[in-house]
Amino acid sequence: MHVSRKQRWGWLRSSTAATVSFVFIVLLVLVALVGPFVLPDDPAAISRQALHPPSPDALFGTDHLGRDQLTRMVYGARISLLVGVLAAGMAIVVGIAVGACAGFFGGIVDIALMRMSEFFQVIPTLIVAVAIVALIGPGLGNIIGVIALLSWPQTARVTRAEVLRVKQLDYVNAVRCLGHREILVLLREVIPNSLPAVMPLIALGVAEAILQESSISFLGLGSPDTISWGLLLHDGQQNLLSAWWMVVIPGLAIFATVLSLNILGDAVSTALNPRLRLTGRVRRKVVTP
Amino acid sequence: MVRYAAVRLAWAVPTVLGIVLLGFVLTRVAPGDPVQAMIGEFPAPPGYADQIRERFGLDQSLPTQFWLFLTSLASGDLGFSFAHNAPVLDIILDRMANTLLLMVPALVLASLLGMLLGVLGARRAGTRLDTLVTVVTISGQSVPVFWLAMLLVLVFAVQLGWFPVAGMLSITGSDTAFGVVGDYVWHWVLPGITLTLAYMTVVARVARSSILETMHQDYVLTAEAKGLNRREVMRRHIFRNALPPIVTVIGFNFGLVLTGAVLTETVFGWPGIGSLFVQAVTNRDYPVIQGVFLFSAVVVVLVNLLVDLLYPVIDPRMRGSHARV
Amino acid sequence: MVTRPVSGHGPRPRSARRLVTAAAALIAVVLAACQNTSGPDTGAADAESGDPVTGGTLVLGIQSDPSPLNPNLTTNGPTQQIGTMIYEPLVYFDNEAAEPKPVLAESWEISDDGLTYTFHLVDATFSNGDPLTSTDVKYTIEEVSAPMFAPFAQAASVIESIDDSDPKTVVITLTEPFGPLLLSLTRVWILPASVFQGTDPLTNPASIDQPVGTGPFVLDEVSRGSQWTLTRNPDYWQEDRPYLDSVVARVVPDAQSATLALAAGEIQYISSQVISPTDVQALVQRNQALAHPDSFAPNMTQVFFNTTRDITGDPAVRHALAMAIDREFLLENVFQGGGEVARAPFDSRLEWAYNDEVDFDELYPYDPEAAGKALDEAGYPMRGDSRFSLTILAEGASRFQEVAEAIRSMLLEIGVDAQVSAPEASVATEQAFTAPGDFDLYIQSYTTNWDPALGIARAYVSTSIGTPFGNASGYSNPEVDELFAAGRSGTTEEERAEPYRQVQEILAEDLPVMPLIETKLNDAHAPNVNGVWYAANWGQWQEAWVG
Repeated sequence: MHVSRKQRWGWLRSSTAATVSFVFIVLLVLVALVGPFVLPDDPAAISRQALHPPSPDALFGTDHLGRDQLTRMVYGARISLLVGVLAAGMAIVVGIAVGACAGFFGGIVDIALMRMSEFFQVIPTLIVAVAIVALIGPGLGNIIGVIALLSWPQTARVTRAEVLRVKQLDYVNAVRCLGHREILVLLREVIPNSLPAVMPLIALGVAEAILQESSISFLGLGSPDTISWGLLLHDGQQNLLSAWWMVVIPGLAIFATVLSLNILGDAVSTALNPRLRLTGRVRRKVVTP
Repeated sequence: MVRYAAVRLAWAVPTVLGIVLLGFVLTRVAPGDPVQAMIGEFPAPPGYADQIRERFGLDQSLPTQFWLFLTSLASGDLGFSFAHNAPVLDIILDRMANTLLLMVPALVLASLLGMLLGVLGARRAGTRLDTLVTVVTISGQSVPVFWLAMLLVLVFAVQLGWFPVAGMLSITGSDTAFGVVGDYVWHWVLPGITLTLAYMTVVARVARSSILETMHQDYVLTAEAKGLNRREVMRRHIFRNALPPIVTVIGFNFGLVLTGAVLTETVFGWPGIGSLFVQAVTNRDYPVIQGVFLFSAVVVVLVNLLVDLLYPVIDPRMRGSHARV
Repeated sequence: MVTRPVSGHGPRPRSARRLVTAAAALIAVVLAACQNTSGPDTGAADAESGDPVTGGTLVLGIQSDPSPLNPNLTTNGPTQQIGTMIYEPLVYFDNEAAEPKPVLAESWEISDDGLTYTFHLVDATFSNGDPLTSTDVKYTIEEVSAPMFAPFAQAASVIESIDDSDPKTVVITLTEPFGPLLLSLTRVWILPASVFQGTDPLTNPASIDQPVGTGPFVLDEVSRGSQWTLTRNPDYWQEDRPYLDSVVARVVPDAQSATLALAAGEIQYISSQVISPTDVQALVQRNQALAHPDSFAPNMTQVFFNTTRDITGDPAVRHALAMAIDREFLLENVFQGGGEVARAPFDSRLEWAYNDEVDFDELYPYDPEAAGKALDEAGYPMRGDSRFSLTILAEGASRFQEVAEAIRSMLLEIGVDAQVSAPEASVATEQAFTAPGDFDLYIQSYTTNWDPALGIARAYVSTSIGTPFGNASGYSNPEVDELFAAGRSGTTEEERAEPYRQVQEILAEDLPVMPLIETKLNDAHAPNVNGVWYAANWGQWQEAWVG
């Protein structure tokens, strides 16, 4: 339970890539938080300077309605990160709850919950997500909910495996023998001790959620008022042949962010489980292209 | 073996039913009127919409509609598409062929290249080559596929003009079979490479870690200690035993063959299931949406089953136990 | 020189419209290569000079299979395009002359009270050998058009009876005078009663892939998803027509591919429903195609104000918002110059009914400052950051969404906090037209169908409140209803024009709907294609020839 300071931050210094990624994410969060207060333009403000390539006046160029792409990128960072964090957060909370119950109580509960999670794992995620968002509506909440709904099983599986291990540990058995109620044992002892295994999934989950959101928005299913990087890429695709910057820049941002998060996730898991340093094995969901 | 297959199939039924039900519920609870989408921009005469509703059974209660859907499904009838004015089954089979033409070569190529990369990375663990493999795989998993696709279009289709921007075959077509195949290959290159890269990284990653893990097993160490040559150990002991997770991930990729190309097909205008689905969603073409749900679920389940049956073949330890990895 | 094959068979997501637009840039890059290989197709400049040539094949691009083939069943583009080569109506509406033109009815008389229409049929035969009779006309109108074809609904509601006692004469009697009857009949394509009687027109093979029509072409071969081949109807009732031996309709779902194929001469015609205005311009500049000027019924993109809501229900607010909208910007940046800025409630292309004394540019010139002042005076001063907030509704992933986004930004400038709501099309339709509409501003385009009674009245009359693609504003003004009714029941253009001119003045003042852009859409065809003319939205090919 007690992790020394050195251990806590050791993973970060373990590789240059992890350090760079960490710095990038911190900067990105700062830009997303502060940027909108610093930038002069409204992200929706149109101008007659349509489809201008990047220049000193407009560093990232303008789009087909003459809107400043830099401003839209900064606002986009907010939405993309927000969706990533909230969707991954929800998925992880649900995943921990389901996985812990399944692992701890076992029996029919385990079978039922795991069948359910298996169901969510075999269904074609993108098809279902697209259908739900398109049919229910493009609200930000809907998108976050859909991504969370389709990504919790992975956390559940990892948690379940960890809970199965932890509940066999001597001191947990000891606590049980003291006559504590099962649910309290689960909440106070088993779940907290299983959490480290879930840690790497946080960064990976956020990365995955950002990708998912960008796919949904790219297909034109997002809300036009909710400027995300995926929406910018959607606009970019429509101007693919006349405005390369509308495609290259938002895509690069998504790529860099997701890459950083993936590197961080790997670094965390390697630090938590030194055996993996040899094998590099991280349980991760396969990204559906 | 037969009994095992039957059990797995029996398990698959609720999964497929669940997906069918999900598709049905989604299309019915959604706001928006499919009949209006069919009528188009025109004030319809009174009663006109009701007539169409009746024709397509949309005036029935939801449970009745679901029952009708299931019964006609049992007789092989997937319904009739509003937008395409054709039986859903015909449309889907037609598009499915196109999707397979795009995906199967990409998946096969990706599986082979991915395993190769994985072996390279694992054998040279810790070297620069391994780092390179790691960089490629982690980048590949972080890149939005549709963005990669657009970049390829920008460079190789628009700037260089080497490959077509979109489509699967040229409009004028070709008179010779050889010409048609060439035309298809030429159209396949950009979307095919996009998908190959995306899937390759997934396979490479799993292959590398699985092989690394196996390399540290006692029996491998024993084999090496016995002085067997490295190539032999790799082939007979390591690779063989590292195979199950690799097969799993390849199976997973194949399972999603119909849906994996949604984004790529959209960017490249490839006339497959993915683009059919995106169209159907925007047109509220309920029967097609349901049909795609059903087909993609069936494919996932069948491929999973196939993978399950493959395990005992590739992994002697599992003969008789049939545990899933 | 390598031929630069152009790819096909891609689906076209509706959102890809702008991608198509961008194809112009692509054409510049790629097509230099095509010019050499496409031979005479791209170079022929003096097409107009020669005499019609008999023979030859025309290849046209269609977005999807023409299913069904019977044009009486759906307004779906490919169906109309191909179906109208096989089936013919009593009269055409000639876009160029903007008037009806005889087809299966060689002449007609209208009684003075405007209640009786008598049509005299030509001697035509269906492709199964049966002669065309008045019974076929009666059957088609009563059993197919009236119950099944939305654009005919208004006419159907005023038809009292159809007399077919003389096989060569059709007498239609109305319950009340109906100005656009001839125009409505241009969308009734006569079916052989002998083939259809007692069957379901939707599933009858003659509606699907075994058509039996009187038209210049007959269906020869079908390869679904790929191409539909039509050949000359050897027994066509118009002598020496058509000129073309055959017409091949290739299914090219991807608009971008179709555009490139046209430029490369692989196909010779694309409908304006597929190709974007920018691309047409680009092709015309390179002499790779001609744009047909009369190829689409006038169509206006307009903004509906929800008059049932407090803020937008105030005419002063509507006037102010109108002044805040920069229509020139929309025309240039969203419509890429494809059209004209609208200046009155009616489309200026309906010349006989248009009131040129009403001018939005004078009434509501683009002036954000004046708009702001007008809102101050109307009782909506700035409070903090904004005056009030509004929701602009538009179909998602459409050009209307971009119009909405641009207008939103224009409104922000005068302190109106506007949000864009762009759900999927059928959801937007439901929100807009289920009274009272769930929006403040709604963007949609209406085709005029060449007649105010068929295309414009629906946006304003109180009877179409709650009807899809009707009166979304919830505007109700008895005087307007009366004027539109008078315009509809007049029997001559002069008689009808007067109420229509009056109603435009009222509408321009009340402004429940503000037309923004008169959209201009041109079909494009290869320079060597001659003699095609347009009836409503579709090309007519009996006089077409390839030079």
